[in-house]
Amino acid sequence: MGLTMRHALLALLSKEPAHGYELKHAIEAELGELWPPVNVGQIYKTLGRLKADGLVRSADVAQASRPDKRVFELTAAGRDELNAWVDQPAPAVRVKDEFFTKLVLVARAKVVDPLVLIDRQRRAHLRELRSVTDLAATVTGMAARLAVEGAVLHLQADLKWLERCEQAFTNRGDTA
Amino acid sequence: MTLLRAVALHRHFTVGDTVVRAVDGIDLTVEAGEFVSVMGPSGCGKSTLLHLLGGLDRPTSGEIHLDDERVDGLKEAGWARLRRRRIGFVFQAYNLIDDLSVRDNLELPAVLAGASAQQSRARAAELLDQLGIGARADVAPAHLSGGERQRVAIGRALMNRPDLLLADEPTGALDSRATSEVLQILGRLHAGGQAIVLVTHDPRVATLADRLLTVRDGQVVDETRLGGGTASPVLGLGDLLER
Amino acid sequence: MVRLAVRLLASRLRRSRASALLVVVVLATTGAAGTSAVLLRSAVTGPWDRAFAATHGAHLHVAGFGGLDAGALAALPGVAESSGRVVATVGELRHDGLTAGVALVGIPDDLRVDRPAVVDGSWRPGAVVMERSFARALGVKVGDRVEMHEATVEVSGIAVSVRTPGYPATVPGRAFTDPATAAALGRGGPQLTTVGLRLARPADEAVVARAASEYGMVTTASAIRAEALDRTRQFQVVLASFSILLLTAAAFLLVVLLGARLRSQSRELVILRLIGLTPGQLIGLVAVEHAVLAGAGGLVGTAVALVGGRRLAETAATSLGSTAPRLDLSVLGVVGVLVVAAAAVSAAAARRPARAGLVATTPARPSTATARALTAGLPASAALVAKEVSTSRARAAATVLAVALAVMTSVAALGMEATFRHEGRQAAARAVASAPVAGPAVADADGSGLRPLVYWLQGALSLVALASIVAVGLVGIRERRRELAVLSAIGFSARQLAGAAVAGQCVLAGLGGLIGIPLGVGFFRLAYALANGSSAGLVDAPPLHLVAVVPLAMLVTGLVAALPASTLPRVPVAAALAPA
Repeated sequence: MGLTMRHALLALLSKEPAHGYELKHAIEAELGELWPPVNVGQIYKTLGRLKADGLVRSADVAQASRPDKRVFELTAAGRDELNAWVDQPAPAVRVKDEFFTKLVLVARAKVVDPLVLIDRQRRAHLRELRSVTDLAATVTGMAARLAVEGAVLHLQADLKWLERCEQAFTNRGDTA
Repeated sequence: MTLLRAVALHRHFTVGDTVVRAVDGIDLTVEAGEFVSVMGPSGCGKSTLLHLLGGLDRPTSGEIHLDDERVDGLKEAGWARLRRRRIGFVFQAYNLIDDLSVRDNLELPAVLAGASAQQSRARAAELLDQLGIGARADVAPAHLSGGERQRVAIGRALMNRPDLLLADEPTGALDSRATSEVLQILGRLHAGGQAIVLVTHDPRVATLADRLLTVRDGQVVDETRLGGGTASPVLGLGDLLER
Repeated sequence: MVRLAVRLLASRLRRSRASALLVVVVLATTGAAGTSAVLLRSAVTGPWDRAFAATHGAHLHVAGFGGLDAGALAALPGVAESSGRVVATVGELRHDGLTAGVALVGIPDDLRVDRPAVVDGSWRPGAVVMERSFARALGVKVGDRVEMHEATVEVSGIAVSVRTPGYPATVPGRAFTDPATAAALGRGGPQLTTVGLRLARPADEAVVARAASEYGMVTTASAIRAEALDRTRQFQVVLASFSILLLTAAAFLLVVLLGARLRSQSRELVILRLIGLTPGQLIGLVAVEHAVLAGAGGLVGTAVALVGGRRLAETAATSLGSTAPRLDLSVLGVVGVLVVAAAAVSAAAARRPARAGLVATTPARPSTATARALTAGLPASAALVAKEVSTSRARAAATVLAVALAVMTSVAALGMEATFRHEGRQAAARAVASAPVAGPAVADADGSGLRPLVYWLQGALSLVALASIVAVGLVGIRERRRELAVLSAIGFSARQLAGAAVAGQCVLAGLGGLIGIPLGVGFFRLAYALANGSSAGLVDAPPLHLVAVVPLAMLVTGLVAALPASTLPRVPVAAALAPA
């Protein structure tokens, strides 16, 4: 989805300064249903890199009964980076397709029957479609629902495209 | 336990001089409580296959066994009795009786199977509630939305608690919202132990099943196992639908 | 199964009351037509023999002016029963300026053989009962007074007698009264004595020969019968043909109605098989449903026919010189036949493959006529009419046949009318040439009885034909809901659609009219030739009348078709277009 932890943190911090745990909770609230569990160490590591790059800065805030907490906020450079990322259109999914490359090359080299390759890929897509639809039954957040919907539509398109591939390769086999 | 077993099914039609092999040697096994979907483009023979399994059409050759009893040789009346008690059908076109109210449409199979008036009324009320159309029981099907009509059709198919539910493109005429409602219902039914054979061209609908057969030109070209096998049939349908 | 049938039928009746009512009305028409045909047939079949039985007629009449030895005649071997001496006084009878010879017969109280059967009014001492053909020729009705030898006497009744073939074939005419009144009114006029004999074997030649040789003037019932039937032959053939036509029309209507109804139900029947009705159960269900409707309609129709059709049968019987047919339970047989026929026709139609019609909606057959009309640059309405005519062959054929039937009988009736007029003019000319005295008018006697009857029958047939057009139209609308909705969705107004439906029916009616004209001419010629032994004197209907029949048929059909077509706008488009 083109969304990395780096950009996610920049985006969250653009609203208001926050400390590591707050960022973890925010991520979980928005995307938790889709992402694997986020661990705090990973967040601090990323924040460290962002600070080293000058995109965020941090300040320690004293707390009464607990150790000081470190609050992060966006720098001007960080905001520029975020804006650049936002303005840049995400690349289309299908442009670099590993399967397609494989299919074409394999067909030419006659390493394996392309139809076998297609079947295998379809099975993979179908299983993925099933797991995504299973997921769809459990998600509640709007963002998550949209993401699942997108995945389903992509997979449906992929399956349709596989059908076309199959037709094309079957016909070629007939004429050969 | 194997519920349905079809062996080397063929159904050939003669159109003019050409022989169309709508079903051309399909083997199919459905376990009790299993959900199998058959996917393929239109004209691949999947609907014909479903009709053969429900006795709406007769195979040119091949065998059909239901619970180890061979049924492909049954006469029309024999198939009618199977459809009455053991096989329910759901179609894209709903096929409800326009002149009867929703409730009457549901009660019809029960009355046919010899249930008393109270029994059939109670069963219809139960299903109508579970399917979320209890409030529309006395309405004519013409006044329902597509999704509601399909729910009525599902209810009718379930009236006599069939062993096997055959569904032919049940979401083919529905919008996406009604589609997901119907799919949820089918999912819950399956979770409650209902064996289903569903025919569709839509992968999203097809992947609801435990097992997915891809059919081309009357033959099964691929089989994919999905999800984690059959759900426990201990849970009652009611519990699941009210969840 | 019975519960299911009752339930389905009840729900369907509840939901489509108008349609069910229409079916019952059409079935009632069928029943009425069938019952009328049966009544007519029974009136037309053996008319003379029926009157003979009703009057306990004599097989042999022996007459003499002098004393006739009734005792010796009764004692002849082969004689089963004798009337004894029956004396008639011959004189003249006047009524309303007409004078005719009369034989006033004194009927003893205990007369059993050849006792006139009173069909109107009653016997009253001191009053006379007139023989029916004589009374009609003189224009005498019950309650009138007639004059005989300066005395007037009241006519208390009209009776049928088979002693003669009837007036004016036999003169003098006959009137009946008690012996005392006969003697008083006769005033010593010439007396004719008759003994009527019933024989053990009706055609006992030996008795006839002996009576003839020993007693003189002998008339046999078979001779009277032959003459009487010969005179009414024309009537009989025409009425019998009409009874057959009526029966055919009734059967046609039944088949058209059931066919159309079952076509509109075919999807539902398939659904019932889907949910597990065996073919046997389905056939049973459909048969029971239609049998119930046919029973209801048949009973209503028969009840109507017992009032209207019975009058028809009585008039027919009168025109044949007979008594009214006895009414028995056999008319209920019509209901029975209707029920069985409805069950059988619908059961046959219920045999269809289970799969048809379940898979989505079957695409409608494209109408090539519509396409042709559209590509030929005709306006859309005309294309719609072309479509209307060509879409369903069965429906179109039903309309054409119904109109053809009505036109055929109308044309036959027109031919009959023309022939009667022609005959009437010739008879009038003959009458003028022979400069008659003021005698009873007989020239028109034959036609006068038959004509109104034929018009009634023709009307009944047209009614049946119209009922079939309504049936086809209304049931067809349900069948075509979707198609009509599609047409209104693409911009045809309800008025245009209804107009096209009506215009389409008119076109078909025109076709039916063109077919019906030669059929009608042929039918009349055939019936005439059969009735008269030759075509001599036959006159075809004037061409102008024939030409007028077609537009008239189209007009009436259009009006009738407008009835079901007017329900078109009430079909909601969205509902009709939603997936079935």
